[in-house]
Amino acid sequence: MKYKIVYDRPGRLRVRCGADVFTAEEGYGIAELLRKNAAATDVEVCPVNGSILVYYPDNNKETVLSLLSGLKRCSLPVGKPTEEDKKREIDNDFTRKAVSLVGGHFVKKLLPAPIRLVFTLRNAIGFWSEGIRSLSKSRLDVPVLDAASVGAAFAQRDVKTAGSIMFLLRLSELLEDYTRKRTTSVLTHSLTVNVDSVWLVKDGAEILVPMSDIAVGDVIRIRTGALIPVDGTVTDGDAMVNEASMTGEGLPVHKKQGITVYAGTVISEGSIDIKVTALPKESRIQQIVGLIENSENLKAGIQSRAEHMADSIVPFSFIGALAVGVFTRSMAKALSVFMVDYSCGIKLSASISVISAMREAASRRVMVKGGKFLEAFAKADTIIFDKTGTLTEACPTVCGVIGFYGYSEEEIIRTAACIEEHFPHSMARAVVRCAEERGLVHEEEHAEVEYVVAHGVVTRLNGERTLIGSAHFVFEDEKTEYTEEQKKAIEEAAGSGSVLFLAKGGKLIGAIFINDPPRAEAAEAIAALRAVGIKKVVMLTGDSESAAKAVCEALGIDEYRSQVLPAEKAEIIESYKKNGSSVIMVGDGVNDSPALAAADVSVSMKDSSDIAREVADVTLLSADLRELAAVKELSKRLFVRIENNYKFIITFNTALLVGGLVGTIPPSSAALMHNASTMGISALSTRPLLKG
Amino acid sequence: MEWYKNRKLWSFVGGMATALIGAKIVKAPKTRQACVKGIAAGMTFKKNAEASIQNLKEDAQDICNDAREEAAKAEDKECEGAEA
Repeated sequence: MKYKIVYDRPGRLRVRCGADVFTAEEGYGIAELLRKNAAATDVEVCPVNGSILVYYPDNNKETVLSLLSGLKRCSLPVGKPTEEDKKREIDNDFTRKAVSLVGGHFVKKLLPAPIRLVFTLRNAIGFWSEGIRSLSKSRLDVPVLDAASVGAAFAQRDVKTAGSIMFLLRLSELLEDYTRKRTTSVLTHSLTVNVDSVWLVKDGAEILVPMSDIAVGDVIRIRTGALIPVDGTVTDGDAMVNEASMTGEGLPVHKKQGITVYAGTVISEGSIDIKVTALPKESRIQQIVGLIENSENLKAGIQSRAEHMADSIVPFSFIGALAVGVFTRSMAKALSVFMVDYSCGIKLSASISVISAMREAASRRVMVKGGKFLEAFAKADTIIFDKTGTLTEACPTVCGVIGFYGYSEEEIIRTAACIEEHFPHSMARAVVRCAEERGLVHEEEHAEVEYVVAHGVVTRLNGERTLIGSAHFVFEDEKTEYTEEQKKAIEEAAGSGSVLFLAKGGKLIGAIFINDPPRAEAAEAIAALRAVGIKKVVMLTGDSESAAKAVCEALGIDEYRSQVLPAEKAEIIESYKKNGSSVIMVGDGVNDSPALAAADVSVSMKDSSDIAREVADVTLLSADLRELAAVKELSKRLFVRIENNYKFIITFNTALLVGGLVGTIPPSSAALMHNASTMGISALSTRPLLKG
Repeated sequence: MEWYKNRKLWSFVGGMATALIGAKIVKAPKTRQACVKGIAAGMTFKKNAEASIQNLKEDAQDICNDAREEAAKAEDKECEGAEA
């Protein structure tokens, strides 16, 4: 492939091959090749001018150049874009369109008047057809007003003003489109279905395999709380599946043998075997992003209200212009009322502000699923945390084991790990990790494992019913027998840690003590939340009283409740809401999903169970609790910005209207200033709300 | 009145002639070729313009990169001088 070196410094090389020498996909393929074979640290390609920018380590320049020379135009490799490639494309596209628009507008001024008129008319046709389309649907909205403004300028034979109005309107649209695309790109990346390994069912046994090894026709088993990574048909089992990511509907759907399930949905209860019919596709992600972009339910209330208000003001602009024309008998004054309106500014500024805030949150690794949740965050005065995995580290560790009836510590750990390995709870992972560290191999001896949310796990081991779980589950629900000596021994050994009880054949055979220290940044995060306006901090946990009290004292939490069941968490949240509080719930486990659904706005952590991330409105990808305070501050500032924008739009446009009515400002200047202010407000609304 | 001085008549005749001759010109293969060439030239111009804009942007980026490196070198020299 022929190329020209246009920039050459140590570690950075740019070559150009010419416009359209390779397609976008071929460009990505060349980038992948350079990263793999020439150890390039970064590659940027642009098919528009055939540019390839390569960042390479020392002494690799010849490798890079020989690779490029060795490429043949007729057989270029094809690849997929990285997230950086997509962002760059959006930026390049915006720059090209903005420069074309601005450049075109000023170059047209140099053209002879008749040719300028032709170009201006051609541009006006676009606006007029949009206006006519709205009118044909009996709608008197902003496109009609824009079309009428342009038409009014032409009616006055003021082609220059018409051209300027259209230029400013198109620039505002471009800005909104660019902001929306950037936000979508960031959201898409974070919502990608991401399952590393699954349980493959083969010859009656379950094997944990990487997702990449799964093919169409394989049967995989998915249990409670896990994300379904593929499209398929249920071959065995029964489950309630949350399909909110596809349908937006929060109520789970019953799935049994023969029914189809979809990638990206989550099992809220039960277990099913799925025969794979399709592996994860890009289109599923587009569905989720489409839901976020277009769902009226997810738009901030203030944004929806702004859009409705903007459209409802339009008829009054027409009536006002007509009234002024009739009373003053001045076409110029009537047109000035016409060309200055509040609608465009109100609609655009709210929309761009909200999208820009979502993008800023995403850049801080906080995924907000809709403007509505930023609004709820701004209003919230109470925050309720789950303990395990949210306020405490996602990595609790086993710090002690007791065995009774002659069972050794190793046997207790081995048995517990055998049962817990299927489940996503952080306590379960702690037990499994402990078994791995001690080199304790657990054979898969049990038949079917049940999982009762938050309580514990029940299975059959060597024909005997074996349970593991909290005190409430093991003693109160399952009526396991225990002696006073066992109780005393456990209380002495437990300290402020959490306890998992293991029972077999109706008797307590052992206890595992789990150390669950609070996150390093938790205390700082809680103090920061108080500083931004949170009045009450509450902790709810299914863990023991001593463990809960220890964490609260360490972190300065106002209230806590221990040994709480999942349904009770949701009831507690409802009671706070009834008392007039606006509640943020932060949780991570399967057992938090009822509470997350009950809160005004719900937050899940990066390492949460799939269902928590699915149900939650906001996800902290950085797993840093301090970002909660940042999001609260961002939300508050967003709504202050929207209010300030409204005040400016109303004041400025009223001044222009009055100026036009009294004759101080000619209609053309008024129109230009109106559109320039709209564009300016839109541009300023994309500024970051938080510094740093 | 002499008919050949009647402007309205000539306008009418001119309009008829334009319609008849114009229709033939529009349908002629050469007209079609001229349109295709014109549009192709327009598309090429647009593509070249986009490539030029992209080139300008990249050249500006490269200049910024050089400027950053120069600034970094100057800072390093200052630090070395201060330490000495």
